[in-house]
Amino acid sequence: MRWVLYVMTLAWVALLSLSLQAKELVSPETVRLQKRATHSFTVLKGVPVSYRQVANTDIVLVGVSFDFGAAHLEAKARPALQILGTLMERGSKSYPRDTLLALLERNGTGINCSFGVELGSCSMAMLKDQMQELLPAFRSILLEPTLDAAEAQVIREQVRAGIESSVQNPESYVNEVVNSIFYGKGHPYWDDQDTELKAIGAYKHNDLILLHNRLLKDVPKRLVVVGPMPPAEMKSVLEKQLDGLTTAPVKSLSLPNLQFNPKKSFKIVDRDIPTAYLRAKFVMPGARDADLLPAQLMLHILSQELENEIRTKRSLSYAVSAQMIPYTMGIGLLHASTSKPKETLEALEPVIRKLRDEKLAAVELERYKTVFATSYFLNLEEHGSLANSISGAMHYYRSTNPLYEMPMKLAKVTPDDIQKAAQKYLRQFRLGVVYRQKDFSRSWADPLLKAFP
Amino acid sequence: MLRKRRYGATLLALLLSLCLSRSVAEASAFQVKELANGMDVITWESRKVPLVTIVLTVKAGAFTETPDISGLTHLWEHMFFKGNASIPDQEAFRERIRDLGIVYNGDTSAEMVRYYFTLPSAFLEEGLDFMYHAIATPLIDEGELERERKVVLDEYDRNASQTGFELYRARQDAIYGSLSYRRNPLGERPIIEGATRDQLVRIKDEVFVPQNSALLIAGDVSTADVLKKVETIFSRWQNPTGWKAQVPPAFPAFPKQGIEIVKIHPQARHVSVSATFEGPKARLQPKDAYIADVLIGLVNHSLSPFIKRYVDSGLTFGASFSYATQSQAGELGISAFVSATQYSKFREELSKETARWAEKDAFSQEMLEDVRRSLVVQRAFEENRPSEYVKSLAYWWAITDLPFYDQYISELQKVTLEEVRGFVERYLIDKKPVVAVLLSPLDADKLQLKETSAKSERSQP
Repeated sequence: MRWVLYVMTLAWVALLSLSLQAKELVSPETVRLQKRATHSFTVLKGVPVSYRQVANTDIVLVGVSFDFGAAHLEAKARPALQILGTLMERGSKSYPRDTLLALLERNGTGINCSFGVELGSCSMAMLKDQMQELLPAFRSILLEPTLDAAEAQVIREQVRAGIESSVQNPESYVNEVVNSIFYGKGHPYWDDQDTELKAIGAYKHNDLILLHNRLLKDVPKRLVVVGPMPPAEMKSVLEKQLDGLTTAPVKSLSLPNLQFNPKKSFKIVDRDIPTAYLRAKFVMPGARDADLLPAQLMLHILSQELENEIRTKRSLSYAVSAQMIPYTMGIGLLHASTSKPKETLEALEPVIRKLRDEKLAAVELERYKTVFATSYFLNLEEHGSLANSISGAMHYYRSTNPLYEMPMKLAKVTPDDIQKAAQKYLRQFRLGVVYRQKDFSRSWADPLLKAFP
Repeated sequence: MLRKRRYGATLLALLLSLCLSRSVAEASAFQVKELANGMDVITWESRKVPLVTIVLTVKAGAFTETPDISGLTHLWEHMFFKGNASIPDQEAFRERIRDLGIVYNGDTSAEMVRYYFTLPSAFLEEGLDFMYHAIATPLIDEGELERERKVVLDEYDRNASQTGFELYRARQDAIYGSLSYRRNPLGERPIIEGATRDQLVRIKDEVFVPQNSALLIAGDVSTADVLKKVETIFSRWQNPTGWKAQVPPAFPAFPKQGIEIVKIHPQARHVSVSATFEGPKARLQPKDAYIADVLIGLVNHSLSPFIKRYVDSGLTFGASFSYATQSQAGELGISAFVSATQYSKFREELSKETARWAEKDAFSQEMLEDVRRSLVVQRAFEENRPSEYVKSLAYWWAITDLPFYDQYISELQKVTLEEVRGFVERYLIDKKPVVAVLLSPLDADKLQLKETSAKSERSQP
């Protein structure tokens, strides 16, 4: 297997060595080799497996990915999902709490179960030689977790304290503030703090047991595995060690369209701090939309340009950026912390306008692509982040090909594509602010909020 | 002047003795070579992705500052990413970064400055040249300094917006007294406001020199090729004539009387508590630094009495014991996040806690074996992410020197429970900690706690 990666590296080197401004980001051979190292098969009763074979490592990561997250539940059931994730890590019928924890401590590892907005997972990293001892425990916590009521109560209080203390950090609090005007009440992606606290107060232990039953029986699952063994050997191990794991048919998530109301596009929360935290949100293409990649690259470019204008040239902010969350519905965000909110908000508008109105020079675009590609490969460097990327690709595309073909597609993105994406998506911003209200004028937000309806 | 060391043999032997198959251990050993100018070059080959990460680390930070330049090493770190003899200005710098596909950052702490970036490995030579000019030939342009000063001040204000900012500073003042600036890399706002180019040049000549630095390169590279290129490029970087490493003054003795600092903040929710004890300084007391890490593993073991008492019972929302390996100072700390209703009970338990660790049955031999094994496995996981692992190596080089890190796992395997108890007796038993408490006005009322004044903590009885 070593030669495979070596050839892959050579392909990259050969291409990039031609010129500092790479004409091709990655060769078809590199893509082919990555695909060849990724194996798709099913185990047990039709549970799909995405297995990425990696050379020169003794580390194996085994994960079960659930097509299930907070967005699949009503608001009142969502806190139970948070508790469930933590509680599943705390013992099972065959591995009571202390037995499981002793086993994990003895092997220097842990089980991590967590649920996000659209996806959840349980995973475990281990050395190859530990698999035989650890996988039965992993199976057991998936299929027959103890879900102890007293322990659930302790975790519930930890979750409640976490929600209550989220207002402490202005960086996380400004996200809550903008979410309240971006999503409004009742959107599957977000609950306000009051709703979350009410739900956690009303939670019953039986909810948790029902939720786990639903997870076992009704939720589509997929195994995502990264390790050094040949695929046949890995398949045999999974068949033997994860007996009883089942999956369910895939269901699509239905999401309401977000209505933009210009009258509800701004919110400030008063806080006596020297730095204003500004966060704007807007709708971006979803993970399955055809223009996702140009839009992602466009936002990467915007982030770099904002940093150049607002931080480097004008020294208005230490931290300014644009980011994207590519769920079924894509979310874009602009963020800045600044002691000069008026000037920073004024400076945002021309940078966005330039990206919308002017076509980027081809040579500039190629430069941005090279940095974008470095970030892409950094994400494939380690077992955990590689497994996450594979899991996301499988969830949204039912294939890992889009993950590996991304650099090829990136190479084809044109300045025209970037401009189109900017015109289509950089608009209808909702802005949240956490700062001293007496020192902030609502009109400062107008250049951003009114210029791009 | 060239010396070449190969690390990893100790680790390999140890891994075999633990019967864990780590066939990659020998191949993954890092190599160290010292250039004629005194700079260490550390390489780590890993062909997982076609990238290379280059780190330049310097034994500098708050500990090499004087009161008049408190925070300026951090400002200098920001100036690293500006114009130099090869790249005339910020605009050209940005262009070069994008040409090379560089993802970069830097950090300054009390005892270390690191600059690091990742780029396609095909650009190794260009990346090394880029790093060389950034460190060796900076222009420190007055206009760029003026602009970056404002950015650093904004970073300062951003930190000051956090609820724990004042409490942290008060805690540092209480522990380090008049030398607390040597533990505070963020520095003082007025000093940053008044920083001059001359001050930065002085800092550059005093600490940012080859003899005080290491260059680390990890990723899809060959060590032989790297060393050849580094030698060609970095041999041009010379030490100022007669340069000698600074000898920082010793910190005052850790306060013996026990100090309690209370800060009330309107945005605080529940009660955050930390109790800090004096810990070992890794270069002076390396054996104790190893034992401290074993003690952390024992106390935070998921079946330990500590976790059962504070976390599993629901007494706190979370609690842990920590030790950050440092060279100039040592801090051992228990921290917890607790409700106002449980606060008094928590404090009562906390006052008895460290004495329990010296009891004969506090930790079992089985737990000790778990900690030992866990360290081996965690090292394997760390190495699995070369772009981060190389930053970790840079940390160890700067704080403890690499032999400490190289022997880390084998030394930790030798630590016995008796030594742990001895450590607890020396560092924790009958020692009064500096306790820092952050809470809301409402909780302060409930608990009848009053805020302590800003600068008086150390002088309190």
